[in-house]
Amino acid sequence: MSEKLLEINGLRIEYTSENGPAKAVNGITFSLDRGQSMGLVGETGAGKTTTALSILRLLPKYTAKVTGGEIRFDGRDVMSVSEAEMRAIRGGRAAMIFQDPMTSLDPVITVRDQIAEVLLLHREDLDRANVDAEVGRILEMVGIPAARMHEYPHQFSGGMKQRVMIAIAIACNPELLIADEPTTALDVTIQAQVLSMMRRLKRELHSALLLITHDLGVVASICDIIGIMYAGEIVEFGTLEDIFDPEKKHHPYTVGLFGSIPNLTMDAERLSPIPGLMPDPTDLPAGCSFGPRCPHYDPARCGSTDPVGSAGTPTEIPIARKGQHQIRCVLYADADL
Amino acid sequence: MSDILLACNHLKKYFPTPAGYLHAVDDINLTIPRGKTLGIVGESGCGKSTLGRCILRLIEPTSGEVLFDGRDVTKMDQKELHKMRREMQLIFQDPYASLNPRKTVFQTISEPMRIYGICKDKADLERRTLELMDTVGLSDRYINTYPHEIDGGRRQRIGIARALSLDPKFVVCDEPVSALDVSIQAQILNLMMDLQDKMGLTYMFITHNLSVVKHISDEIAVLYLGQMVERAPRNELFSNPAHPYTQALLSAIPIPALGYKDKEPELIRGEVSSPINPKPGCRFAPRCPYATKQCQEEQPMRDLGNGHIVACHRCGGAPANAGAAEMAAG
Repeated sequence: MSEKLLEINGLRIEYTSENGPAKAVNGITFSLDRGQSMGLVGETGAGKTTTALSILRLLPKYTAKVTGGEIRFDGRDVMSVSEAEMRAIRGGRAAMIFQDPMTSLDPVITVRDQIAEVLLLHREDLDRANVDAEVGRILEMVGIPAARMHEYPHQFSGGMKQRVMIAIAIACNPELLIADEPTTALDVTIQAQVLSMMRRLKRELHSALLLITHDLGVVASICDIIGIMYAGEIVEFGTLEDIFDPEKKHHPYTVGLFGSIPNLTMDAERLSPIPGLMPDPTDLPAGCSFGPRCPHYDPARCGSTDPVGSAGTPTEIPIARKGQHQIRCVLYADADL
Repeated sequence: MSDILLACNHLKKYFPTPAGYLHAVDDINLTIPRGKTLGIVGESGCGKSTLGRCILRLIEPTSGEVLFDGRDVTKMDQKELHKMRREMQLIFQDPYASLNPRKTVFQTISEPMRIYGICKDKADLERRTLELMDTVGLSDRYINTYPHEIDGGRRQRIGIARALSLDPKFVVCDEPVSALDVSIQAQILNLMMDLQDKMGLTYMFITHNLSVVKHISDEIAVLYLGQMVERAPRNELFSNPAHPYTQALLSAIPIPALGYKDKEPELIRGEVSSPINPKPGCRFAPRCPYATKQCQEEQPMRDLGNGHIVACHRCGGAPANAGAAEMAAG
């Protein structure tokens, strides 16, 4: 059994659109060890969800295309396994918690049947007579009384629906749990309950967790390693300490993200937001994609902000590394970190 | 001219449902001084938006009064209300749903000015619209575009320009930044604070986001199931939260800093109970770790001094004068 559960190498994904290919993911590389939890942080359109979907081969068939790189799950190339093998992985060894519990559950099927479906598909050892008991056990794990298993999703509150989603995902003790904004739709007290439950499940099941979120607070409460995504690239990567330590060097986008959150512990009169907007994925700048919004932008080093022609080669932005910490920016060399 | 621009006294809104009356807003007393910001926080279903809409009389309150500049909004006839609406505006939560997709930016921003006939001709209307767009930081090249051509942050700027077009004194901001990404959220928050300084606006800022509310408010009111459980100046509220619900709410916020990994916050049990025909006494009691028998009977308002009012008998302090709002408004 290899230590590395998930390896992504130079992954590139494009969507077809009216205005030409939309470059959603542009060469990202990271790996996740067994039992480790990683946060993938970024704003709308950064390519976080696209990355997550590609791991389970759930990208829309006709509009999305993986144009480069590889994804390895437990050493196997996800892109080349057969659909039958993929079905065995998806929902069984690797499962996903979707963002919106209101629309991701089937409204006309009981919660018991929605959880049982996963069990019957993946747990061949399980006797049919024991399915109810197993569904009950899983529901209790996420804090829902087993007696409520025969109810329909509309009979549950938002927080409880999200627990049902989590119950479906953990039903087969997955080695990898992908959670796409699992608490974004929830109120803060319910979010705290769900996060606390996820921390407990992580300890009990030893699953690796890939958590996708835009909330740096959520990341700080649960993740070991963090990737900051911008316009389809990981611009900064490191351990929780690397990313959250204000004394360390950071990518200008990371600095901008932290400057944009109102701070509860300090009194700042004004926020320092990032000017401008995320670039259009059909029209990415040729150099650093953060260049047009960056206070340190220097055309000589960061490359042109003109869009890349279809034949143009983007300027390579160097990556500074120290230990696990990586920053994709011309400002730093390895020695600076 | 009194310092208080807006005061609500015993404001109530009950919605009839098949199961009984839903107490959406239940006996709210509050005051907002001129040029200040009152933050209203609470979780989904606590009545924050209903409160904002009752104050603007976009929905009819069941009872109670809303005094705007000393005049009772709830008793105005249509003509008076029409005049009053110039001074009280609303910024909506969803920059996608609150703009008419078939109207251009110019039509959307200029509509209130056309209705109130405050520009003498088309050229004047256009000049004033461009001025407003400049104020909110929208480039004039957007004047003839439609909402679907524009991103969320800019759409929210259109909503703000529209709300400001009549030069209002008071703006209810209902979750104006919740639908936006953090980097854009910060741009809009800064803009709103600048406009307040420049135009002397008074805000009621409704949000579920505690760090945003702390950033923008002078005073904060915490709502739970239609009732105000605590009200205090912002620093007082964050440094000395008195109500067990406020304490739980504050401890539930994930802090984006080192040292919070795998730390368990003080969780509150269960979920919000039903607002339909609520039992007397404290509505938070079923989830409260300190609840006693007394909590099921009464919910006294206590005044802890320095403008800090809390609806909990555990907190000591003097009994709060329920009529304080009326006195201030009178």
